[in-house]
Parts: sequence; structure tokens; C-alpha cells
Amino acid sequence: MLISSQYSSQYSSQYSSQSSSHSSLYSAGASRLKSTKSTMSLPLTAVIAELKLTPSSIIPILQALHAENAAISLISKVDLKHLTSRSVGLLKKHEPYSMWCGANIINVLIENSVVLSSEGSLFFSSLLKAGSAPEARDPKIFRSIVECLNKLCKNIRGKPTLTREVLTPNLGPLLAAYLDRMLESPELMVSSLATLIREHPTTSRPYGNKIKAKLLEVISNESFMSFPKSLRASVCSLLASLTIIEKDGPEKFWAQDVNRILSNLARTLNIYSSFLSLSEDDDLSRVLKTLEALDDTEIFSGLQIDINKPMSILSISTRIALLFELLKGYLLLPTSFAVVVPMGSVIGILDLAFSINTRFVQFKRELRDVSAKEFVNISLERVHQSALHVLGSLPGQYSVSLIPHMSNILASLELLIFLQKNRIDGEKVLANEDLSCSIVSTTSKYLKLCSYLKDFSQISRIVDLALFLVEPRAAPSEPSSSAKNAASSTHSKSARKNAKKGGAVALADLLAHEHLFQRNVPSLTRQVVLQFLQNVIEKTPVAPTQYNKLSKFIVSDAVLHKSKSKYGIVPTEVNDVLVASLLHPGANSASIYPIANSVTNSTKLSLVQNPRFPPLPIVQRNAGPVNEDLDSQDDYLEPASKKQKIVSVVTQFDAPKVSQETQTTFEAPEHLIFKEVTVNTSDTKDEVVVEEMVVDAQVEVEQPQVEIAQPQVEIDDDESEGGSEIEIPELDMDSDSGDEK
Amino acid sequence: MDEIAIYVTRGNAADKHAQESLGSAASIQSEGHYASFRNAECPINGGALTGFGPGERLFVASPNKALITTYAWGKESADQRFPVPEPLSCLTLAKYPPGTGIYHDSGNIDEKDDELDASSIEKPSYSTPWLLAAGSKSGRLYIWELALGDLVCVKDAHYQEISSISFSKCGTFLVTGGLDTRIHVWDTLSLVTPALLTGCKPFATFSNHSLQVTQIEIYSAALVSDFKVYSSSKDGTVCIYDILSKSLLTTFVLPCAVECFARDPAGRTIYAGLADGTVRLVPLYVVNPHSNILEAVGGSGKVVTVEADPNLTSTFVHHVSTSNEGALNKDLADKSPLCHPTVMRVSMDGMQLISGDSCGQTFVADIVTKQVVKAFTACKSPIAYLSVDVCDKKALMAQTFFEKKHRLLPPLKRILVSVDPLQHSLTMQLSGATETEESFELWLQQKANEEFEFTKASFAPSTAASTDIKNDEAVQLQLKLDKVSAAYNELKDQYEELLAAHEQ
Repeated sequence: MLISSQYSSQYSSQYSSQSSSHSSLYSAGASRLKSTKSTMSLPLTAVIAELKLTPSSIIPILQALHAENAAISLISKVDLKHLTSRSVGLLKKHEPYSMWCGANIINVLIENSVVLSSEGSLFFSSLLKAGSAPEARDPKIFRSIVECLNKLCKNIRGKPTLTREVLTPNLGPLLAAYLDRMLESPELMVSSLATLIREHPTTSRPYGNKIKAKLLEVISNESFMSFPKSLRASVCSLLASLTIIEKDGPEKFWAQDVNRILSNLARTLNIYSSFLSLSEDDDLSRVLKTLEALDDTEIFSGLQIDINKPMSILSISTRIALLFELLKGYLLLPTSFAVVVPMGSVIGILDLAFSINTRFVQFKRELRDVSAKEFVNISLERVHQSALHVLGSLPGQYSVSLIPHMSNILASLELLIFLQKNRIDGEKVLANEDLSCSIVSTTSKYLKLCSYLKDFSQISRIVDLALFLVEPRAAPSEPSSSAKNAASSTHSKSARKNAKKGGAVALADLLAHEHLFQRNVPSLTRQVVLQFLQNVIEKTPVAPTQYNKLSKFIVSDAVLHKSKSKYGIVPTEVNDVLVASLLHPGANSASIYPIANSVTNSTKLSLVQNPRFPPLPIVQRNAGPVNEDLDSQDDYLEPASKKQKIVSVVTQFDAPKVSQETQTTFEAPEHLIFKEVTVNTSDTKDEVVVEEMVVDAQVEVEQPQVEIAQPQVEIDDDESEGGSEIEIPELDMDSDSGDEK
Repeated sequence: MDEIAIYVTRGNAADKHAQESLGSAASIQSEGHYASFRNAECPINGGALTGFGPGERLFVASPNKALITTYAWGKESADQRFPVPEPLSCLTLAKYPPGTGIYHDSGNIDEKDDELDASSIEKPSYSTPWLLAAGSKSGRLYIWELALGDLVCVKDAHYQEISSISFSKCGTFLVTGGLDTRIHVWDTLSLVTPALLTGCKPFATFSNHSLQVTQIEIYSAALVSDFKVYSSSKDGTVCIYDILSKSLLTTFVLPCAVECFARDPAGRTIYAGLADGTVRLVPLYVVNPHSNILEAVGGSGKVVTVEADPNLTSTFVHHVSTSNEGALNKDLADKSPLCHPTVMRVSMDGMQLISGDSCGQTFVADIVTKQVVKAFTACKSPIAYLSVDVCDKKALMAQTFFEKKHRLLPPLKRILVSVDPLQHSLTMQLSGATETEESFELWLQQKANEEFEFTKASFAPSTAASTDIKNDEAVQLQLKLDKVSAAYNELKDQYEELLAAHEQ
């Protein structure tokens, strides 16, 4: 604020002479503009003058142009021309900063429809030219130019003439330019190309094969799987979106590609049959065969795996991860046409990936190399992780369509939990915390699909896993007994003493202050688990033993959070799970309500403590007009319908209460709510002031006699009051007449 | 915005080609008329509507044939006809429930997916509801998955005709009521999972009615423990059940057979359409006259007798009083002396009762005054289906645009789907998240950062100075080098001259 106001004062003094010299050029619009412009930003005249040379800073200029966006249309043509040509001039200068300034100023200018219509074409060609200049190799400049081009396309899109005259002729060169620079700044180019393909499939058609070739080049790169996750996802999504531009039946191409990926995945997974005896499981072999038969084409070149180089085994999981990433790109791609999603096969391949697990499938006897076995295990864990990613992304797009597979999915997820003698294998779970968290969060996403899961046993193990993940964690590892033995078996006394001394120093803290070595539960794990527990409590009949464990954790966690917080507030996720636990109490378990109420201050808890019924139907008491009607008109003169209406309105009242209320409106019972509203009656269109209140309908039924008497009572009251008013002047008149007499 | 009622007639057995049957969508607040569906007819509760506006569909079961007809919004004649295994008596739809979001890769360091708000998901131009469930005259329950038209469930649910069927909003529970007086609550997951279907038993069964069930509804709430089933029966009772505890909460005993009912959106009252033609208002909360405290009626299995209402304070009588007035339905009225409501709904604000009757009349009545606010054009056969909702007027008008893009539904299959889960596929248009515009302030901030990068050289004088010093040093060294090499060359020349002189 301060800066801009300084600028405005500075510029107003600096350019006052210029503006006066050009005053004759300004139209009436400009003077109007002066009055409407915001005091925060620079005046447009100052902006135009500033653009004569490369400005020292464009931030105030951009602010001014954005704020005065509407006013740009009002300035004179000469000024407008100055503004646009100077911006383009900046862009054309072969100097990085000026080009950057030009691109960004144009970015703001095209928000105005007049500028867009008149200069759209010029901007387009200048930006394209600037994009190919050597200075545009600077990522900052290139990003600004691309942003501006994308915005220009977006603003023109949908306007028929502008699209025909400006956008369509320039789309080809634009696509070609983007394609050329794809490897230089992939993230920007991929997302821009995806938008162009989605919005202009026909124009993009000639570039389809080129884009595909380039994308496959990127994907085939060995380091592709170490690219940033978002970039990987957008590259796969762009590859999937290329099916949109197919002329005949894009949905067929989509289905063909998905089937191809599925069959490639099945074939790649089948490589594990060289290490594991997969053929022993008939069901697994059947699914593998079915999926392999979907398509024969290979997407990528063959893998080279050498059992003597165990590292090469990891390339299987890398390839599978890549194929899963591609599959995800297709399955989550928004389409403008209906596609046939082979959901059964998709779930089938994921199930297959989970079933290939060394806990259930034996290694082949021929394979004796321990390191090879270890690498197979590592590789399989990676496969499970990538399959979990795909599984977790499905509920968002396919929602309840996944319900028929729900039991299978939950069973598959359970298979992934590390167990040892039917109990959670703590060490492995913590070593693979990411995988364990993914299991819990994916289950959570699937639980959200239904309101109630009657079979709790399906997720019982996952609940155990979740509770284990948030248990306090011990120090990384205790000194092994073998090490102790080694120390004690040292022959030399002095050596033993030294060893003891040294060992004691190393172990002193660990033994005396064990709590200092406890590892904290990562906050992400905690969040995932809390959200999962909330879903479990709300949607399943939790077994009593597990419910007690859950409650114990939830309460202790909430109390802990409260004690840590300066203001004694618990975080939202803890609060939610606490409320869920309160609203869904377990069978035969003590209520946690008192604890919950002292720990958190939730609206829902307040509602539990102070229950209220829904407000009853509003009964209208047509106070003023009804009485007036009754006073002024005789019953027999009223139209039948009107009479009926009045009676029906009045008969709504609970007679004793209403009579009390009409007389002493300030002493209304607590449960009655009064408020004044204005109602437009549909028949007469007259505004009638009525009083709303909440009363009981049952009482009306039970006391019909009193209710009907009600209007009469009111009328009598009115009449008697009226009568007394008349009586008093009569008395006066009598006295006056007496005086006269 | 406008509140619209859509009603469908039951048709006449004598009118074989359903010439006089129709469905119509009209405003309950104004004179507006939005759509007509020619020759639409169905048995009572035999219709199902996906929604109002372009892209939505009306499903009706044929009263006498084994046929389901669909009507597309904006198209007057039937859109598609699907032959089904046997004549159906009632229909209902399960829509995709809200509450699930699109997960997208955020690219964050923590490598976890962010969940988008469900409201930010774009509605695709072609979408179908999830399931279509139907009850048959033989008591069988059929469920189709509309995404591919697969028949996923056929179940012998009742001994006699299923008279009413309803899904919970989330689609988790399905409830059926039949002429065999029973009510079954089903767990949808078991019904649609081929592997579980064979051994699937009802989640809960209620057999409290002594005569046929006429209507059944599930009223969902945010908490699954608050889900309730309401049922009405010819035995003159309306019952309320709790689903999770599988227990009867309240029985309301009314003076005569209950043909249909509607519930206030806030659950404050029930409106029971009785066989004598009246509609009785039954409050669910009353003020105790002794303690003056508002109390809930019933609960814990109580039986509440709704007393006679001679003064008509809680009774709507418009169906009785108008039964003999309409010229169109005089024959019908003569045949059945007591014209009674067949279907009822309550408007969104709970202030108007919309009801159709056995004489083909549909009325909108004001609940407070109990007077008719609007009467729709009378039909020649009873009203069999009624739905009321609020929707955007603009969306209703955009029909011409939709016509071009209209897509047909995949045909409903007559053979049960394969048990092999690998065969399961879905036809659907995949939706994406709606685009959100970046705020100008954020963009400007980004640009300020970029500008700083351009200009930071001038803010770092020390670096520049050090570079200058280095440059100076280089120049001096170069000069020194030049000097030394010049001296060396000079010396060399002298040496060569001396050598040459010596050789001579």
C-alpha cells in the first residue's frame, strides 16, 4: 500500500507536465476515468509514459493495469495504441528483462476485451516470435511468454470470430513451438499441450504422432521414474489424452491402450514366475493368462534380467511402476466421450500384484542365491506400493461403482500387512512405514464409499495395523546380545575394562534416559491413522476389544494434544475422531462423553448435551387484518373462501396460550419463538404482517372447542374495549349537556 | 430457481396404446410448464427420476408388460424401451453419493495425494445413476448397474408382489415392502457383489404390518445410526423403524387404511393419505399440555393412536371435496366412490403438500391453511408417480444444446451378470475437476520474485566488487606478463645477435 501510494504521488508530480501537454488528446472517457480510478494504483497515463523505456519495476504497472482493467476501454485510441505498441516493443527488444516485462504486461492487458479483440493477433505473433528468440532460453522469460500465450488462448476460446481469425491460424505454430521445447521445460510444456489437445482436438491431430513419439522418448528414459511425481503424472496424462484427437472412435483407442497396458503389466508380472512358483496357485495363473491375452503388442522394449546381477531384478518393479503410472493416467483422464472401463480387469491386475507376495508364494527350489531372494522381496514391495497408488486413486473417479469389488479389495489390502505368527510384525511395518500408511489411507478411501460396512472382520487387521503405527516407538534397536557376549569374552582384563568403559559411555544415555531416544510418530502417519479411525468408528460395528483400544488411544491422544497446546485446543482431526467416537459408542463400553466434553468444545457435543427438536411447522397468526376484517365486515358479507381461510388460520392457535400471549406478549413461554415476517399472499398480493410462532399441533387436535371459541373471545375483547371507549365520551357528553342545562 | 413437480399416470387397462396416459413436469409455485412425457404410465411407485433438466431421465415400469421405458428430459416421446424378465411393480434409483473426491498428485514432498472437494468435480454431460432397482409382481428383486446395463442381482425377496422399494441416499441400504406384509432391509454391497449374492440374506426384516405394505421410504441422515425406515400399510398403520438397531420405534394407528404418506423434510410431521380420501397430519413432536414441554411422539416401540379429527384441524380434505367436481375423471370417480391420495410429496420448505389421487388429480395444498394453492390439469387415470425438486430455470431451458449431445443408455440385460469379477466393466464419461483460476495477487507475487531475480545483481555489490577486483588483477598481471615477455624477447634478440656475431 505504502509503495503504491508513494509511486502514485511521485508519478503524478513527475508526469503532470506531460499529461498537460497531451491534455488535448484525452477524450472525455479519460476524464471520466480519472474520477473512477483507484487511489491505490498508478494512473494509466503514467503507465503509458513509463513504458516508453524499460521500466525499473513492473509490479506497480501490472497492479495498475489490473486495477484499471475496465478503464482501459475508455482511454483514447491513440493512448491505447501507445500502450499496446510499447508493450509489444518491450517484448521485441533483445534484452531479457525487457522481454520479460513485455510478456507480463501483455498478460495483464489481454484481460480487457477491447484490447483482446483489437490486438489479439499482434500479441499472438509477437509472443510466438519472442518465444523462439535466443533470449527466451531463460526459464523465467519462457515461462512468462508461455503463461501469456496460454491465457491468450483461454480468453479467445469460445468467441467464434476471434477463434476463427486469431486462434485457429496460430494454433499450428503454437503446438509446434511447444513440441520443440518439450524437453527443455517439460512440466510447463506438458500441461500447456494437454490443455491445447483437450480444447482443440481436431487442430492438434497432425501433431499427435510427433507428441506421442516425444512422450515415449521421455517415458522410456531410464531416469523417468525418478522425475518429480507431478511431472510423471502429467506426462502420463498427456499420453492418455492423445486418444482424444483420434478421428474415428476415440473411445476404441482408449480401450485398446488400456488393454495393452493391462496385458503388458500381466506379462511383466509373469516374470516373477521365474523366481516364485506362481503356477501352484490356479486362480492366479488363470487371471494372468486372461489378462495377458488382452493384447499382444509390447509398449516398451524387453527387460534384461541377470540372476547373477541381483540389482537387475529391480528393473521389473521399475517397469511395473511405469506401467501403473500410465494406467492411472488413462483411468483418471477426463473425457468428453463415454468409455468402457474394464474395471474388473483393472482390479484383477491390482489384486494380482498384491497376491505375488513371498509370504504366500514359495520361492522356486532352483533359486538359492540369498541376495537374489532379497532383491525379489524388495522389488515386490515396490510393486505393491505402486499398485496401492493406483488403487487409492480409483474411488475419486469411480466412486460406488467399485462397491462390487470392495470385499476383494479389502481382502487384498489385508494381504499386504506384515505379519509374524499371526501378529503385526513391528519391525517390518516400521521399516516400510510408507507402505503401511498407504494401506491404511487406501482402506479409508474405500470405507468412505459406503455408509455402513456390516462385516468388521474384513478390516480388523488393518485397524490393528493403524493402532500399531501410532503406538509410542522404542529406540531404534537395543544392543544385541551377541555384542555383549563378545565384550565379555575378551581375554585381557584391561581390554575388557576399556571395552566396558567405552561401551558404558555409548550406552549410558540409552539405558538411563531411554525416553530421549524414543522416535516420534510422524505427523503424516498420525493424520492418516486418525482419519482412518474416524471412518472405522462411523461406518463399522467395531469389535468390543478393538473399540476399547481405539477409545483409549483417542482419549489419550486428545488429552496429550490439549496439554501441549497453549490455549488448550485440540487439532481438528483429533476433535473429529473424538466426536465420532462419542456419537458411535461401542457395545457395553463406558461413555467417553465427560472426557470428550472437558477436552474439546465441539458444536456437536453441545447438541448432544442440549438436545433440541426440529422447529415445528410455523403457524401464522394473521393478527392485524383478521381482526380488522372481523370488526369491519359482517360474516355473511364475506366471500366463502376468505371466511374459510380466516377461520382456518385462527383455529391453529392453542386457545389458552394464545389468549395469554395476545394480552401479555412479553411473557411468552421459552419454547415459543416469535418473530415478525412479511408474507406475500399469492391470492391478493397484499403485504400482510403476520406473527410466526411455534406451537404444538397435537394440542390443537385435543382442544378443538376452545380453539373455535378463540376468535370470538378476541372479537369480544375488542368490542368490549371499543364499547368502553365509546362509553367514556358519552359520559362526558352527559356531563357537558348537564352543564349546559 | 423454481420448484417443479413431475407426475406420471397409472394408465387405463382399456387404453391399450396408452393414448391417454402422460407424464408432466410443472412448477408448483408458478404457472410454468417444463416438460411432457407422452404415453408415460406406470404402476403406483413404478417410476424413478434421475433429476430435473437436460441429461436427466425418467424411468417407468409398464403396468402390464415386462418393459421399462425411459424418457429423456426435453423429448416428449419415449427415448428407449427395455424388455425385462417379467412385469415390474415398482422402481427406484441409487445415485452416485456425494462425499468422494478426486485424488490428484500434488507433487508435494510428502508424496501423498491431496483430496479435492467433492463440490469441485465437474458434472459430465453424460452420466447415469449407479443402480436401478425394481420389484416384480412375483416378489423378485432386480438390480441393474446402469453404467453397462448389467443385471447384477435377481433375488426372491418376497412371497407376493413388491409394492414399494427405496434406496438410502448413500445407496448403502435398499428397503423393499411387499403385499406379503413384510419389509426387508438389504445391504446393497452384498446384493451387487456377485460372489456374495447367493448367500445374501436381508440385513433386517420387519413384519409388524398385518396387511399389505403400501409405501416404504428410507430417510437418511448424516449419521448412519439415524437412518430410519417409514412404512405405511392397508392395516391403517404407519411404522417407523431404526435400521442399525433393527427395531420398531413407533406405530401410528390411523382411522383407516393408509394408501401413501409423505414426511416433512425436517422430520416434524407425517402426512398420511387415507383410503377415505383425507390426508391426515400426524405430528412427530407435541407440547405436553401438563408440563408445557415439547416432547417427541412415540419411540421405544410405542403404539400411538391418532384420534379422530371431527373438526378437521389436522386433516386435508381437498381430495374428498373435489373428487366429484372434475369433469375428466367423473367416470373414475363414479367407479371408485372414494377418491384417495395415491402419491404425496412435501415441498422443500415443508410448507406445501403435493399430492396425486386415484381420480387423476394433482394438487398443491398449503400446509398451514390446508387450502389448495394450485391444481394441475386433471388426468384420466390415477396418479402413480410423483417427484418434487428445486432446480435452476436456466438449466431447464438449455434443451436445444443438449439434444445434439444426447446419448442413449446401454440396454438393460435380461441375464444375470457373470460371477467372474474380471468381466465387470463400466460405460461412463470420466469427469475432471473444475478449473480454478489463479488469483492475481499470487501471480503478482510470483512475478515480484522473478523480477527480484533479474535485478538482484545490483543488490549484491560485494560480489560485483570482488569480480571487479579480480578483473583489475587480471589486467595488471597481463600487463606484467606482456612486460616480462617483451624483455625476454629483447634479451633473446640480443643473444641471437651476439651468437651470430660470434659465429662470424
